[in-house]
Amino acid sequence: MSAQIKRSVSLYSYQDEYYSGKLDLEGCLAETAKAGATGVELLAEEMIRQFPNPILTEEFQEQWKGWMAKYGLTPTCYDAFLENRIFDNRTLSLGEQVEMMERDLKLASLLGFQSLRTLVSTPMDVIEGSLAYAEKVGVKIGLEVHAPFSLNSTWADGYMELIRRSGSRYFGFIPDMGIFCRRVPDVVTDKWRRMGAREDCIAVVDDAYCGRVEKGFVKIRYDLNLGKANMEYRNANGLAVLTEQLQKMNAGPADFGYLNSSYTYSWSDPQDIIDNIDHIVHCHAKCYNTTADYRETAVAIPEVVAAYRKAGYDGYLSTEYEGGESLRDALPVDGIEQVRRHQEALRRAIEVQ
Amino acid sequence: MAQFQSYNKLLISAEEGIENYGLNGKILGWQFRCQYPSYRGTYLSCIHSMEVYLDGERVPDGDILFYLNGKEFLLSEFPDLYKEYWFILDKAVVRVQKDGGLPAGSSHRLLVKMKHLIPYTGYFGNYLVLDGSNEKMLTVAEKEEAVL
Repeated sequence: MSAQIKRSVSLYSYQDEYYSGKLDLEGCLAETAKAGATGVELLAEEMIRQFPNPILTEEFQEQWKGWMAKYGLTPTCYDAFLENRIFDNRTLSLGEQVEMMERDLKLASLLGFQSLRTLVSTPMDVIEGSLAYAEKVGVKIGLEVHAPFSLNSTWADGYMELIRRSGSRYFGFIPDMGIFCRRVPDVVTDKWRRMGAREDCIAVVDDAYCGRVEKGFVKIRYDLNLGKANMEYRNANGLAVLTEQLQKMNAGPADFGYLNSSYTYSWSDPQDIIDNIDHIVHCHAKCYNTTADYRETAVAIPEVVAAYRKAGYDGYLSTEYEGGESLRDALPVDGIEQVRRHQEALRRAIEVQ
Repeated sequence: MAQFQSYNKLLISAEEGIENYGLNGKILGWQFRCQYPSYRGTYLSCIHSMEVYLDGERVPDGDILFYLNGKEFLLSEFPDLYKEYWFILDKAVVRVQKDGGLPAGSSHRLLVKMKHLIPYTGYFGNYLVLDGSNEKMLTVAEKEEAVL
């Protein structure tokens, strides 16, 4: 029997509708179900006033469970943030960070989530220190693999070592499909165009991106100083050379802005999914612009979903629409329609014969 | 940095614009409403500065009262407010104490600048600090608001 990949929606996708008052939390859940998803991913601070208090009440827990039943949804992933710099004068100590992680694991479990997303900026000691609690409450910690990071890299090796060392099944990866971009999303290019980027400069940046996709990106390495690792990664992938080239073309701020922006997307071989499937707990199906005929303009959905199928993945692919970020300063955003199209694109890729 | 700036228009709510506020017919100052410019909220301790300019002139921080979660704060108190969460749908009321307020019906250029730290971006010491701003031409409402 072939594995069944399931579909989910991250409510991050509906941020514009939520802000404008068009959708409240229940409205977002209703739209998620309407789009054909059976799973839902939540950013609690975004949609629960007086976070985290309501989640601790039976009343809210019952209401949430009622919504899940009403809309036929399963809680998939709870997006945590580990805000370790809320004090003005210092970063939280290791113990305080572990406490915060445990708080979020508890909140996730109270609402029935199976996994918790943690960001790449989470110190490894905090993850290791929270594993026993994660196991206790039955919520897996998933480290987001967001561009410019990638699986099958020395960066990921550091975390693989943690998995081996701890022997825990409660820690793994959450790939973000932004690591499978064949090109810079068109809505991003258009935004920089509106801000004054020149066509000749855009062409230089786009050609260089295509070159990196063809040749393969030089991968980011593991370093405690992520900022430094990121800068080295960018230069290893041609940023310094391209900056010089744009300078010679008398490029303006928008051109350099577009160049830098192009380094926040990347291309990994979809084989990475197959190689690491035992440690993938969830997936952010990032999307930027899905056309009316269900093609994502940057992310290689068919190839990536094919890799998940081949690997026998039976977890969720969770739509995370981020195109609004490039539109809302000047243009209307339609998260509802973008999610609907993207869910259909995922469905077609999952059910392909 | 042009990224993460797409919500800056929320720094000044166009819906309410500028209103005078007062008590028993005496106008004590003027106010506007402000939302946190991101897809999720923040603790007030992460707001490093908030500058208000009216017609190009900086309003002294000490003249500003900031109302959120049913409480009143001075901007100088922000560094200590690591438990005061600013939910994204909640509009803070920003009051500028000024006897007599602003003439009803007059138009003004209001500029708000906010520097705010994103507390989950810690790359070992280097946190992302966003520098947001929004400017709007607004007309002072005819009807005055009561003291909160």
